[in-house]
Amino acid sequence: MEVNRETILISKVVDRCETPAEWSELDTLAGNDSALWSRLRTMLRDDADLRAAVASAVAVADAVAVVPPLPVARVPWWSLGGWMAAAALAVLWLAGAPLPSTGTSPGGMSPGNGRAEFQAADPADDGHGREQRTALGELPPVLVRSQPTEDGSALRVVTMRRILEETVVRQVFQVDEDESGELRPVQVELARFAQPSDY
Amino acid sequence: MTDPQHGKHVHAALAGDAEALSMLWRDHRRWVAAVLLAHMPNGSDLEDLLQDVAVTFCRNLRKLRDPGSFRAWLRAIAVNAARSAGRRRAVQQRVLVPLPEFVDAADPAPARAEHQRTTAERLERVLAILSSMQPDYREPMWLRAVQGLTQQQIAEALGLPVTTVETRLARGRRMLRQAMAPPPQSVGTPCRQKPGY
Repeated sequence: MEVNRETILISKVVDRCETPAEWSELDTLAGNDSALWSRLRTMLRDDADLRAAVASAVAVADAVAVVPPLPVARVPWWSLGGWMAAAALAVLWLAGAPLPSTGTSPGGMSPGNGRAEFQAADPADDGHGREQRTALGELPPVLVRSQPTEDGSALRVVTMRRILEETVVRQVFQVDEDESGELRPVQVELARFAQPSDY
Repeated sequence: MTDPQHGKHVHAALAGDAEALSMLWRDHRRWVAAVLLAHMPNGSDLEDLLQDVAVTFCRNLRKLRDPGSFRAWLRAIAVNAARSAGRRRAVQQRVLVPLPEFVDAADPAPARAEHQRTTAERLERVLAILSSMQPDYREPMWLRAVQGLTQQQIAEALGLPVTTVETRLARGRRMLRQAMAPPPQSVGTPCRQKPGY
């Protein structure tokens, strides 16, 4: 589609970015064709419709907020050996074997039979056994959902928190198979992890 | 959205300022929605795609090398999200966006209700025409209408010369006018004019 000079000039006036020289040029064109002002008026009205339509279409964006990431605790590379113990613990925990510490884990999570379960914190738990757990930091939360509240005055944001935690353990297990092929926890000598480590 | 303020927010967000990050998103989320609407296939869920872009924006902002190219970078994220949606979803034609604020069946004043109905229809028609344009014209039109970006700012975001944006906007407006104009003969059944491009 060819676009003539008049259309370009009108478009610039609609965008309010015309120069004085361009306005004079448009004025001169209108001197020969007074219907030009009518075409300008029509295009201004189209622009108002366009803005209203687009504003309505993108309004949903106002309900989408970001959750800024929190500072992340950096794990030094030389400490990765410690993850072997952590991994063994995780396998052990998921398999439902007894944890070395007592009481409910922080955050209400507890070992289940082969899968993680969320449980309400035990009100009778006096915190015994938690003194060895240290929060190192938090990984950026994962945004799950956000939606405006009923009255539209705020946003209801659902995020998943990921916490790095350090635990001192005295016993480490790994999952092994017995003669009949059944999975069972087998204690691992701590000497296997004798290399320097943060974990 | 003034440019010095915008630049300040970008630098602060890159330095780890969480408030600046949030503000940067708030300043641009309607703009991102416009980019998504210009590129996503019909039937895609705009809010879902906005969530995707928001998450990528937060995760990857620190990878932005040139703060001056922030809008181009953000646009690339939005375009990628829209294209991914296109690959995931079957394209399904439907009415683009409901306009609930213009549709009020319970309005007691018939004249006002009629006015709102015709306004809503006109705006829906504008959106339909806009979505039927070629992407080269559609995206500048969306971006110009959504947040009042200057032609220069649109050119920077799209990586195009200003004169190209100027021409595309003028052509886009001409297309919109031609498609909005009433058909030459309006006797009989009202016909739905199809944009001639």
